Amino acid sequence: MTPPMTPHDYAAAVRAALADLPAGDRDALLEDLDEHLAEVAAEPGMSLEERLGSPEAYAAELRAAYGGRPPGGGSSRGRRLRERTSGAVRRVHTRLLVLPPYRQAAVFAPELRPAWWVLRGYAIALAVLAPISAPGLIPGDIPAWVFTLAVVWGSVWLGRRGRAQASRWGRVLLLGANLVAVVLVITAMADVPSTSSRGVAFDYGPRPEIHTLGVQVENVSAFGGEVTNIFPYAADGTPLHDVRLYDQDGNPIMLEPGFDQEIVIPCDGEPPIRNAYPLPLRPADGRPGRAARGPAARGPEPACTPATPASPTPGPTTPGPTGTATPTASPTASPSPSSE
Amino acid sequence: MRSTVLCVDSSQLLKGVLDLAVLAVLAERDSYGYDVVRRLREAGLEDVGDASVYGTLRRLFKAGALTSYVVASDEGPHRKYYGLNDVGRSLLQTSAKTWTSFAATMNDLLKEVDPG
Repeated sequence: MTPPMTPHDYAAAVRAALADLPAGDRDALLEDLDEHLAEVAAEPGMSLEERLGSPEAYAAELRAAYGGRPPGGGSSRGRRLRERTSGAVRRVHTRLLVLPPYRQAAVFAPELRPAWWVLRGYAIALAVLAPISAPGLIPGDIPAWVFTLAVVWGSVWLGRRGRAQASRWGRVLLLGANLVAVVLVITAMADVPSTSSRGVAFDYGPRPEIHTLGVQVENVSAFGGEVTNIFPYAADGTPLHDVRLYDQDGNPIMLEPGFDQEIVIPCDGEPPIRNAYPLPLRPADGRPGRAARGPAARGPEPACTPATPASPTPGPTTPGPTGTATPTASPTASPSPSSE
Repeated sequence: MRSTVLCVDSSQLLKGVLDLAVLAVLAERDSYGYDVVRRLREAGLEDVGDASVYGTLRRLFKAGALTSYVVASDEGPHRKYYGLNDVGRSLLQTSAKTWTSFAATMNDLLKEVDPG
């Protein structure tokens, strides 16, 4: 070794000695070896080899410090593929570590493993029980509970035993079980909101009424049932009458009265404004068919009220004298918020 | 029947705590590879191998404990500086705790021994 090795030569020799490492690992390890060796070589006095030993010894030390595997070893196609994927996963992982939330998650994720073992067992037990017991997210009876607890126990036992001790097929099976459990948990989570939602649901089925184009608000659920009427109040507690409600597009907002109520239709034939609240409602008199009810449908015995003609055109109109859309005719429509 | 008796030497011990030593050096200030080697040697770890430090830095970086950035220099090569991020700092903290209690235990055990 008469001519001293340049950093470049030395790095090339180290690379050659580490040729058996997976490409991703090797690149990550040796990324800035050239610069590093140049720095070492910049120290006056000794050659690189005198300072660092042979490139092969350097490579071996590097391998050990990097936590690499011993040199050689079979490199079947499956293994190489596995190494490549794990290398790619690791690269993505390293890149994502730039993001603080991901970094924090990466730190505490290992602590959540026992929780996953429990959840995994629970999900698989419920999936097994599903065909023979009532659907639900908790076991139905005591045998189901016993079975579930046993599966959870097994899952935790497997988790604590660790991957290393499992045989190859055991590992494949475990991976399969984990994947199945992940799918089960995700589907269960996706299912929950659709089965148990009791929130407010607006269905803006645009149902043009006969006289006015408006939006029919159906299924406006509140605590305890459907909304069939609206009683507006001023800030000082004064009940308001004949309040017209419109949606964001200027369409009148209309409610369908409950099945046991109907809108009072004045004698003179002018249909009541469907979006003037509170609606003048009265109990239905048992006539069959909801279809008969409507702005234009006249009951055989309408509650005749000397109502002032109300304009059916939507839009803010000057309110008439008191009692325009008189709720007086409807005994149920007394403007009290506790009705229904 | 033959059995092996290991005589403790510092290079053997260093293997177990090199990560901690590198993290501690970087906690003081960001450094590039060769500077870490130099600082460890100056601190008294003369046996530390260049390749071991370089490999350890790369492994810690791969594990997400370090940040790195390149600083261009007019004379000489570009230098890749390493520094601790949150992961590295918490790693240093827990490792230091482990080391301190371990060292205390060993000192306790060796109290009666006169190193001569």
